[in-house]
Amino acid sequence: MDLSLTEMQLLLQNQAREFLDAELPKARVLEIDESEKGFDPDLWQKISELGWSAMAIPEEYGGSGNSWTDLGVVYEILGQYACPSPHLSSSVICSQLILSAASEEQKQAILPGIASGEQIYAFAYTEESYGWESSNVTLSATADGGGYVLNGTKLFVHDANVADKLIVAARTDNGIGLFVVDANDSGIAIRTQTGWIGPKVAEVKINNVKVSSADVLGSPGGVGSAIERAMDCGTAMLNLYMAGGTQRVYEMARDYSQDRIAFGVPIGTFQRVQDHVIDALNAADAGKWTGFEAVSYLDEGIAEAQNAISLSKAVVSDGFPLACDASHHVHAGVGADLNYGLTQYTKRARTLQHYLGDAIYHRKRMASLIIKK
Amino acid sequence: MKFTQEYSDDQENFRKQVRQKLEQLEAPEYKSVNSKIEYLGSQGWLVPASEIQNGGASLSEDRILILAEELDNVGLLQYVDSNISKIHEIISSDVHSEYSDDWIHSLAAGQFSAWTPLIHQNGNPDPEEFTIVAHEDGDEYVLNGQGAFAGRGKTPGIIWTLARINLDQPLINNILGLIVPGNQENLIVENINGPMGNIIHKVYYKNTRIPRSYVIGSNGDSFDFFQSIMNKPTEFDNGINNNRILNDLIEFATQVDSDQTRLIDDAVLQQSIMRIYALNHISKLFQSRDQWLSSSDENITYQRAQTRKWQKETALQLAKITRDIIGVYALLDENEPGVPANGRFLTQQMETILDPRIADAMESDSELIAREIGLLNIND
Repeated sequence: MDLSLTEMQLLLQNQAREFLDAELPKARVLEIDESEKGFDPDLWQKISELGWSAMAIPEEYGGSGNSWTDLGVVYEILGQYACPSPHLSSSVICSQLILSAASEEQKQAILPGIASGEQIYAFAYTEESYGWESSNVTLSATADGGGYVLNGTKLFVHDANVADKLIVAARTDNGIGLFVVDANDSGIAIRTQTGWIGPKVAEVKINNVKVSSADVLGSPGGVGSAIERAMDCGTAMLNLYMAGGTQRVYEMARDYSQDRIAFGVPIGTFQRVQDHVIDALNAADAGKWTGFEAVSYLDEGIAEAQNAISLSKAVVSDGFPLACDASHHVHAGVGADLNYGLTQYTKRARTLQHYLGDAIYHRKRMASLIIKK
Repeated sequence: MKFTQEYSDDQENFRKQVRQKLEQLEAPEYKSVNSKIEYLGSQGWLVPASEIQNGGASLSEDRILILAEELDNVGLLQYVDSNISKIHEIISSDVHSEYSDDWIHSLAAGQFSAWTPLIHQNGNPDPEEFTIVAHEDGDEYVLNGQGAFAGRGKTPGIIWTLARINLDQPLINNILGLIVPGNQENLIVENINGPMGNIIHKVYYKNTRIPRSYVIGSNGDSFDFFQSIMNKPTEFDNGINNNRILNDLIEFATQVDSDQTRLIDDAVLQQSIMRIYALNHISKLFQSRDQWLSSSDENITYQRAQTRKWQKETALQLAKITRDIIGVYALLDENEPGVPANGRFLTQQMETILDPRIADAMESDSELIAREIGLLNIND
């Protein structure tokens, strides 16, 4: 057992911190969050220039073929800075869907664009029922000549509003298929859903959109394992993003309780305040270590990876919102000020706890994996 | 990063040997708790790191971890009393008495119990808790007063006693630590009855004379010494992981039906079981982290207290979920027909109240964490 980071991972960690310190002060996060698209093209370009959009893609497709732990190190820092970007959708989930399901020709055609960051992909999976089991996919794909015609509505689609292309999961007569469509197709209407949700999610209405056979990934009915793999990799990264966010809200609570004076002493000397800070610390450490355990198992390619990923998601889905609540208790009124920065994390915690499956979903999955054994 | 633990052939062979020895405890003559403890003592496993000539097994850290896992897997880790190894180590290194050798071997063999003061272990000493006074008289100290102690058994082998000296001086620098043999004259023990026997005791000292050579630590820093020893992890701390009882619970929920549905398939109960599974897993991860931190150049600060707090909370949660799932059967002992898991669930229920590793106040762990992350100054 060796829990240390490699020299290269330490360099990546430092690079990420320095970059985000310079490019993403908390005021900028708020500006991006409040903007119509919730997206900063300049920031995305710089992220891509750093090579982060290429990390999960093998070298033969224009990527850098890094390990999941390498990328996990970056994700933990992205979470600490509440960095808004379509990286998870495009560079992780969609790239893995393509790697697992697409033909060699499709991989050669699509992946270099994702690796360079020039093309942004989003995965349109969830619908009105908002469930992550495949049974929730009902959007129809009807065979039409050599291709398919898609009809239906997707909801809560992350990054659809900034994507160039969508990979749509749709139900065919043979089961679920994966279809690549142009986000600007005239049959597609994308509307950002309103509310206190961050990062932004969208409704995607698909009306008689024709997909040629060249844009079908794999065989409908035969892409279940590709979807599972992409979701596992995406969840593993999301876990570390959320763990990073949890770490930051813990630090905010700790620092504030050292500085804020009440009754002549720092409020951190009060046991009740200490309990809140320690709850946040425990949530941060639980998220971090389960998160890194899961990515290390992914790298090793061992069977325990799936259970470890679900366990970690269950932990961060509970822990990140809990740490935010604890931090709000410590901060009281000042924590609710948008400019202070805490609410950006709280919004993410409460949105991301559901993304790619909430704690209940993942505990259920753990049970199926453990009991099966 | 590498989280998987790999074992060498040598380590696997050791595990096999431990398992073979533990199988012997299934024989009827080892039914009583005392016989089990003495068997563990006969193998040197109560003080496994200690040298063989001192009653230990001279085991390396990696082998102790394997031993702890195996003891936990068969539900025996609960019988390893951390007080024994702590006091054994102190006597081996610090106490120069003609009886030291006997004490060391009796402790290691499980024939002697070891009691420690039941006082708040962190922060500054609380004057209310120091009710035993020591006066110097030639080569001896004379003790008077009474104090509360924690430890197994009705009769003490060794009592680690903290007493006030120099009453006109501030308490902080005037605490004396002594090893008091349980058979000392002028010493009265009152055992407090508990659900699993006597774990808490009151000891009355009435002009009890203790040789100066039984002093541990030095006059003044005895409380610091006590704190450092009590907060120091014991050999088996990394083995506390509830594996056995959690496996028992999952097995029970997999085998027992309610309304023709396996309990494990009941949506609510399944969530509870997986929640505790995750908590227990994090407990083990934190143990591994602490081990790695202490063996590398990284700083270890709040982490051990955090791990202890997490372990205690997990044990309490496990006890609650066990009662939710197994119901009143979780409270039956091994003599009752139909009791699940040979009564191990009851043992776990009791441990959450009685085992100092679980029942100790979590607020002391919180206080240590608060101190280490900078919320409290050393003098607060």
